Amino acid sequence: MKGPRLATKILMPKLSLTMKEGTVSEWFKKEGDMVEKGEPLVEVLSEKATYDVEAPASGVLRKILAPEGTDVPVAGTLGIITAPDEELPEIETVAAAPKIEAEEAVAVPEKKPVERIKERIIASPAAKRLARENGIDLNQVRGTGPEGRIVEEDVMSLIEEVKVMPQVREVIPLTGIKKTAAERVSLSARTAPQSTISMEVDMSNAVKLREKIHVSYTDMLVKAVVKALAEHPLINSALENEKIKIFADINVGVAVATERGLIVPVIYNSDRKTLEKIASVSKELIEKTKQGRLTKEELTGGTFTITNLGMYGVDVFTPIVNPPETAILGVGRVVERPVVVDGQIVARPMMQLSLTFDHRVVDGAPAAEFLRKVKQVMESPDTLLA
Amino acid sequence: MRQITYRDALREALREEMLRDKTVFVLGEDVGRYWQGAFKVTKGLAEEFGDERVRDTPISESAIIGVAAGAAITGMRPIAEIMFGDLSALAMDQIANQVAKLRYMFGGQTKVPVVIRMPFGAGVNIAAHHSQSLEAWFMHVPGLKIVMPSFPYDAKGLLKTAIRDDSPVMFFEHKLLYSIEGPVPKEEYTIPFGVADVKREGKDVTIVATLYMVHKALAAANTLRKEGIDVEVIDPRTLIPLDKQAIVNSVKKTSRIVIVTEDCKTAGVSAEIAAMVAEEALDYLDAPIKRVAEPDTPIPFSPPLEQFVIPNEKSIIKAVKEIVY
Repeated sequence: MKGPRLATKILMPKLSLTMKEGTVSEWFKKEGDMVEKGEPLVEVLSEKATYDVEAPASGVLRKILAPEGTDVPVAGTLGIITAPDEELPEIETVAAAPKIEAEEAVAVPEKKPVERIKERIIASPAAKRLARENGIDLNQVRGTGPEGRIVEEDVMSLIEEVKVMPQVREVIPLTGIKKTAAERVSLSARTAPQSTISMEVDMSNAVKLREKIHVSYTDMLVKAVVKALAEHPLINSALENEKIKIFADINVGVAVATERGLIVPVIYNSDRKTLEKIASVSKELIEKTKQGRLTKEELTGGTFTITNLGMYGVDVFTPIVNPPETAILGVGRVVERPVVVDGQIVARPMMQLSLTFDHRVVDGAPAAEFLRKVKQVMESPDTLLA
Repeated sequence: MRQITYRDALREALREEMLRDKTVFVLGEDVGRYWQGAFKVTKGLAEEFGDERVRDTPISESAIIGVAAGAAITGMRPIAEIMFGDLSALAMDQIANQVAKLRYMFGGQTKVPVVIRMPFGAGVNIAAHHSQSLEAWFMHVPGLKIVMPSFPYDAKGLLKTAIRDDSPVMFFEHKLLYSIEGPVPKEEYTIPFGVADVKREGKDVTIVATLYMVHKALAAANTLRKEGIDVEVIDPRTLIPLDKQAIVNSVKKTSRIVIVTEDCKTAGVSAEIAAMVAEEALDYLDAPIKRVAEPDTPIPFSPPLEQFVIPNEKSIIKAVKEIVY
């Protein structure tokens, strides 16, 4: 019976003190070729030099793990030499990336699986002691010694790395509303190039109107947005599958902050409701939102969103478009500011509006026209009652 | 400080101890007034102290050691010289079975304060019967202390301690060391056994070297310094007792050790030190223990072959570089 024989790994040499990785530039042999110990086998390239790596043993070049053009860290395995009749050691195939959903995978080029030889961790006694004393898992340490042996310095650098990481107090799993919100803002940021413009609104008349009827500024803004959308229907749209869908309905969503996260209930057919009706529906929706009693219908179908941070003292901000909608209006606080009216400096209640829009659907000019319309309506709020 | 040779340092120790203590005397082949010692260590001593205290002996190593052992039991403090360490084989029964064991066998009723001096080492082209380094033989005999000084200062201080010690002491010199010079104070001093000397401080790798190899290790350390490798060189000075703590402390600092000795590698001094480090400091080693020693072969007469088998600066540097990565 034959005794066990070890496959010999061909390793990336360290060509200079500072070298961290090298590039495989040329293999002089193919897989399956016989090689003699000491003969040049593969040319590697560092920042400073090219170098012919010699075969570390005689036998068959059984496997090339780093094809030409691959970058390999120092002491990383380039290939494996075995005896002619020797089986390749157990190889674990590790996918380079997590599985991708079938439909999305079509566009992604096929990734070649990376092969890794399963083996016991080689570490110096000093490295093992240091890891033990500091609770370091040697699996997490990259060895830089001969044949990838983990040495004391490798463990030390990981300890230094861990030291600068901030301490974690608690871990909150991303679930429920938080998870949905995270997915939606990510989708928005990933797919829609967004731009934000802002405009100042003189709220003098709106303040007066509020003294007469019991509505919030947000209610007024819903109505103002409805009027502006009617004139600029392109903003009341969604870009999906390379088509811009302009909606016939105007359903304005109003973002509500809750302990569970941000929720956007939708006021259906906002354009067919009076200001008073909008105020009462809005009040009911906010109430239901806070109690967590919203139905699925009340949460979907929005065509535009309003988000108000004025109550926190915010003036201008850059809201993120609520996909697949085209625009979102950010509302700042109403605050008295000195403004020039007819050559006189007077104090007026002022408010900043911030409009973020999907630049694929509209560009700056139509967005500004839309925002100016909202401003005009808010400055002449009697039209809201019409 | 004044510079004197290793040879003169040894002679000063002999002379000072003979002046201090009348029971101290020297015996060996050609140590007397006619030849003054093969390496001239005993030069002038017969003239000063007389033939009774500097005794020429017949060519019989067994007799030299037997006489020394008997004299020691009767209260004398003999210093026996064997002309070449290789010839200690002829006195092995006296050394291993009498000198080393008498005190034990007589239940401590007697003591054997003998010093047995002899030169070891290759490099002077005198072939296989006159070039060996046999210190490991004596390490394996309980009851003997073993001293190996590498510098004139160590030679004088350790020889005085050996003469005053009540146990038998094997005192090993090296042919190539007799003419080297080094600082030795005029004032009286002794060096305790079991205390290693750090001949050079460093932080990257420890070299433990003995006798003439200390000098080669220091030369290698100087070369390596220029390449950015900072070597610590430790000379144990006495193999029995061995200053384990000094070696372990150094390994804790550098995490790497190379042991350089001139004896044969198999079952040699380096094997003993390597085993000790593995037992007591394994968790501090960041690389395998390296040994640089002579191959298991008789020392060749041919000068090129002789140089090939003796550890040198180049082979020490190679070993260091194999574990400093």
